[in-house]
Amino acid sequence: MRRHLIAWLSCLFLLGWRLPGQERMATAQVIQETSRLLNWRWFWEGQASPKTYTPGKVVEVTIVESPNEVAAFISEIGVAAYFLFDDDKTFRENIQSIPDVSNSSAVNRYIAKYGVTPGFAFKEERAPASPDVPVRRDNLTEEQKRQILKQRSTSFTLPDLVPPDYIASRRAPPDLARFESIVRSRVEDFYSANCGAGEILIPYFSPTDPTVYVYADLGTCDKGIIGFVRDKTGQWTSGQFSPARPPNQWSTTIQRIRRNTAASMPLPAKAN
Amino acid sequence: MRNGKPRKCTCGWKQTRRIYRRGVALSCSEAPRLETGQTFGDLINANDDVGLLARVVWAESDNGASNGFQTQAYFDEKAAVAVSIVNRVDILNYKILISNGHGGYINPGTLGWGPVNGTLSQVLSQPGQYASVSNGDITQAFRNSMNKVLNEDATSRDCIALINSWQAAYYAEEHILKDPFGDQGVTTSFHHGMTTGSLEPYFGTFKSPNNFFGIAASQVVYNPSGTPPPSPPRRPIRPPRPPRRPVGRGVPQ
Repeated sequence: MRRHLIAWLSCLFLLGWRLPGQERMATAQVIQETSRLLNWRWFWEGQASPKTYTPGKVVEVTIVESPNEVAAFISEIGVAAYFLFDDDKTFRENIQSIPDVSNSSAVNRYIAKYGVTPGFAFKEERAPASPDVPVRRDNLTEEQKRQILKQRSTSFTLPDLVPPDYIASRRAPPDLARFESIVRSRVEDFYSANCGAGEILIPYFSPTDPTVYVYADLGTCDKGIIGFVRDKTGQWTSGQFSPARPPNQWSTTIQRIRRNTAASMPLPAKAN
Repeated sequence: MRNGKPRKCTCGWKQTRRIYRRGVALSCSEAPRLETGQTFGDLINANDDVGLLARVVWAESDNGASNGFQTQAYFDEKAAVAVSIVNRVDILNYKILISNGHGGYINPGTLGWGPVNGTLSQVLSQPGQYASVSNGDITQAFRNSMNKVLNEDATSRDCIALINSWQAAYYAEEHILKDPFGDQGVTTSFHHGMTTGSLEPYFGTFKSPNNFFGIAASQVVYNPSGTPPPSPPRRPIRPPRPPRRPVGRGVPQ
């Protein structure tokens, strides 16, 4: 009987299944990954957090797990980290500022937004009847959401902020040539020959970075940043072009890219 | 609703299956409006408030790369961009009043968002307020990209993101779209970065480079009539004080 149980459990683990109550992401791993994201944000965006950040300070982190996402809230520094899962594998990470004054209010806000059919939210009774307009619908009660979302808290020592390893070692990003061709194709969506001469700057990066910021000088048409992230299948996908003009604040990012350029490409492309 | 008359809804698109005309898949620009017969190209390029706002919503939002295509964050970001711009117009037109904390209201003409009674076009053209806008419309870089999307298949993700931007603009203009930060106040600004003034605290983000800011709920008064608030009573002018007596000199005996 005992042998059967061991064999059954081994099968479960081999197939990547988890026991009820088992964490999707161990606390130590959440801490480690959140530290990495804080470091990344500090280096590429100029500040790790909107509130005072003191390396070595111990703060409380509240972790919320859903079937496809793990979220870590640190209201003391005004930051949340998100880890999105697909088939037990993290495929996207994100770090962002939160307005909440406590972890419990951040968690309540997260719970309120969880488990909806995505769509536009309309004022009372004003949703259009057209079936082609996506309308947000709440599918779960507060109690049901709290049963699905598992919470735990732990303390977290804010790490020292240092440039990522790949910056210090000037390590060429893996498969840079392929990335270059994806970047060029995306930048050319915004570029036309009458924009004049420009250039694209790709910095050193790690495939595990939450976003790779690329600088695009589109000549007379504009200058700005495009972020590249990986989708579920590991393919690169890109966000919207974000002009490097007020009210946007990209100066630190552009300075970092210029000082740590792994590849630059002229616009228009030079004929071979 | 405009001038008290309900407008015919022009918001339903056949997005779920490929659209064909005489056996050829239609482009995004050619996608037909069943209700009105207009094409999507006509609507998104229209020289009216909804067309302009739709182009800006599309240019200023992530369209799904960072926050996931058609996730709640994707829809909320589009709604927040559209509503924040319409909120500025409403503030300039006294439909939303901002308390100054001393029994009066902030003069909206001093906010840097446009003139009192300003239009949507004036709000979007304010220098330094919307990075995607130049000379009253989206910049040439965004125009280049949008034209490419309009040539894609009508059922492509890029086209649907453009249609969703138009829908957000349309319903924000109709004032029936919810402000995604409505529990915190009235959303009025967004940009990459965290710098903000004391009037507009940070409200949040939707996993994209945009951060959103707004007027705290405690300072907001809705005034649907748009009637300017009465000016606070002026303090009465004090009569001039009588000249002081010299100190330390007694009355001569």
